[in-house]
Amino acid sequence: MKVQGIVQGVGFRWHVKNCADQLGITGSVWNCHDRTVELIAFSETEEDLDALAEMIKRGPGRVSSLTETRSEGRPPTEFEIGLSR
Amino acid sequence: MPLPVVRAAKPEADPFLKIQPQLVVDWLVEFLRNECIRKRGMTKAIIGLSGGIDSAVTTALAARAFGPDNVHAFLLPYRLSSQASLDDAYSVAKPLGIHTKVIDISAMVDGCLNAGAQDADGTRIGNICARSRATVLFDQSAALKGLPIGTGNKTERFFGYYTWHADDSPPINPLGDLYKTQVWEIARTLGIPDQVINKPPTADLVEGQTDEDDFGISYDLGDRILSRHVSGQPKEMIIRQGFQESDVDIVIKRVAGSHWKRHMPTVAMLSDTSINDYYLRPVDYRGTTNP
Repeated sequence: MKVQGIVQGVGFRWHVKNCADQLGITGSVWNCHDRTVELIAFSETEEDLDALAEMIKRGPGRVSSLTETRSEGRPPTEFEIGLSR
Repeated sequence: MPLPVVRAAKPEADPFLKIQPQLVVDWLVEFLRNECIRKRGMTKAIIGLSGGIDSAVTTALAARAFGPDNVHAFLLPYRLSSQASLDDAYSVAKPLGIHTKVIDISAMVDGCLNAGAQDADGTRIGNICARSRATVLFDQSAALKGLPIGTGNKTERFFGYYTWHADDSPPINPLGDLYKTQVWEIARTLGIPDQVINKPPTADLVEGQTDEDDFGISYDLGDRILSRHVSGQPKEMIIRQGFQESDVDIVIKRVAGSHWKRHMPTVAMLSDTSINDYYLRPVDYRGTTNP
């Protein structure tokens, strides 16, 4: 997922991790140099990913758009806040 | 007269409210020492002790952090305050061995009311009481060279249930990240008298008034919903966990209507030295460009 808006310097990545942990979702989130936030999230169910997207939109700062693509992959064991890219 | 409520529901039953009370107490004592003594060089604490649970817990923490002889608790009744509150405040202070003093704020409050606020309703009188108490505490802080310690908990901060720049004005607040039900829990660890833990929280302005009546929801239920809401859960997700929509609405409305209250005054930013926007210095900053 890619989140645009006022999403850096507002505790956004911590919010994303908090939400992912509540849903049992693993993956990672990081700041991008273009002032957006990107994340990759792994879940068994599409519903949990929908819920995560909904929760992310309620985060700190201001989300102007959230775009996502979905595919299959091997999940990591936890959700981590990664280095900026 | 309201029946005393025994606070049976334990926050640890809810994963969103789970804390380790002894660990929290130890950390808050260290927090007070670090922020007040080490960073600000202040060795005395000034606290308004109401007889309620928040100021009782704050006072007990301060007694541990500063030592009882360095804690000055002020009992600040208005003429409508109940004698029971004063008795409860003493029941907290006595075993701690701290200094106590009663300063009646009736003359201050009534002076303000008589000076052009004769039509004030309960909310306005409550605000004037809170601001008068803050005035006394800051004056005593200057007299005694002590630091006022705040007592506001996370639930009331999220609900906006306090007077802006009054109860929330002290520079240090150990309870601000603890929900009310968590404050009750650490109160047990600190040995606060049962009477103070079990009585219904009240602003003590009108006999029989309670916080929970004002909210329309109990703290136990409110905290469970509030902790989910502020963790980013949408309304539907909270309801799916068995909460009533009307209760969830009460909480969401309270939080949504009080965001402004959780901020410092908004300053018009005009330069690249705008204070707390660009000009950022911690409270214990010792560097200077002009020695």
